[in-house]
Amino acid sequence: MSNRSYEAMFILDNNAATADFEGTSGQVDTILEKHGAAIAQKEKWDERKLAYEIKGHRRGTYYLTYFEADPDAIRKINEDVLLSETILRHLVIALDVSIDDYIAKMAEEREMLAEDSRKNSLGGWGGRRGERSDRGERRGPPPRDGAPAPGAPATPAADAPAAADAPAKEAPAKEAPAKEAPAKEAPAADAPAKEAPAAEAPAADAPATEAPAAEAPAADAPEADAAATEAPEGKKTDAAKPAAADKTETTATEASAES
Amino acid sequence: MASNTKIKNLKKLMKKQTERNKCRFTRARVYHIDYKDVATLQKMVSQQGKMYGRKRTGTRSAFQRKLKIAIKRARFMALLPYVGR
Repeated sequence: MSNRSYEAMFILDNNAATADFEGTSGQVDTILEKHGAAIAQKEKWDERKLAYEIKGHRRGTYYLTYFEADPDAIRKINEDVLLSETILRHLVIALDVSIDDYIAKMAEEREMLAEDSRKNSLGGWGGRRGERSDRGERRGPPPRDGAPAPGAPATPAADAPAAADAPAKEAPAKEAPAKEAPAKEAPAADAPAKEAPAAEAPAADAPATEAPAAEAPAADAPEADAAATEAPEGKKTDAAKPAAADKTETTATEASAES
Repeated sequence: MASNTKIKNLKKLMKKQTERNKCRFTRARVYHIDYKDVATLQKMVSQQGKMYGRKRTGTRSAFQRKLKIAIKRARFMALLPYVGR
């Protein structure tokens, strides 16, 4: 019987863990070692709000360990952990490679994903929302004056369409702000909004002009349609997590919310 | 109306968008999907916490299966909600 590598995550009682993390995590270590596990690495992963209440706790301290143990020991470890009162929940995962390889690979892949997400949301989904919004403006009433002032959603109908033409020339200048903003939003924009009511389109378009007017690609009627539906989705998500967005985006969010 | 530049831009844009519509895990050339990577997982579930379909995210089937496991683990560890927000 050869040992296997395992990754185990424990949610510790936050009260106990904040008061005495060493002691609390020590209990976990004791249980693991009692059953012959060789702990290779242990760390406090995070202290965060739980997505739902567990045994009446809203927050928890996550304790992450990597160890090697006999497969039969895992069952005993599970039993002991379940008896412990400071451990709210735990998850043991068998690894198919050695611990060091696994940790290194995970870190690398995580970085690759983050990088990809950053790269593709530049002009990416977030940007696409922008581009579409600025196409969508053409669907509004005929243009009257210049581009709308940023964060002035009060008169979206009048302002929006004008911007559709303007950005073509201004594109380079405006590109910068548009690009920084959406990086964090990839998720939201990731999927086209289906539920967006057409009626909302003009209103939602207006705020978009400030940032994403940037790309100003050739505007086609069919794409404009899509733009109209896309915009409100962005709006919804923005509103949901304004904290994550950077300042440029926050302005846009507020604007959308008002309109 | 449609100048050369505009057509060029459009083509470029379409290419970009096609690329973006593809599976993000294939694009990033990863192999595992980690249940601890909450930021990534969050992009694959709706506000209600339901997983998005492959049609919506463009995820390759192999990754969708890994994603399923990762999301379920994350839910169990209260990193993602089972339902609602």
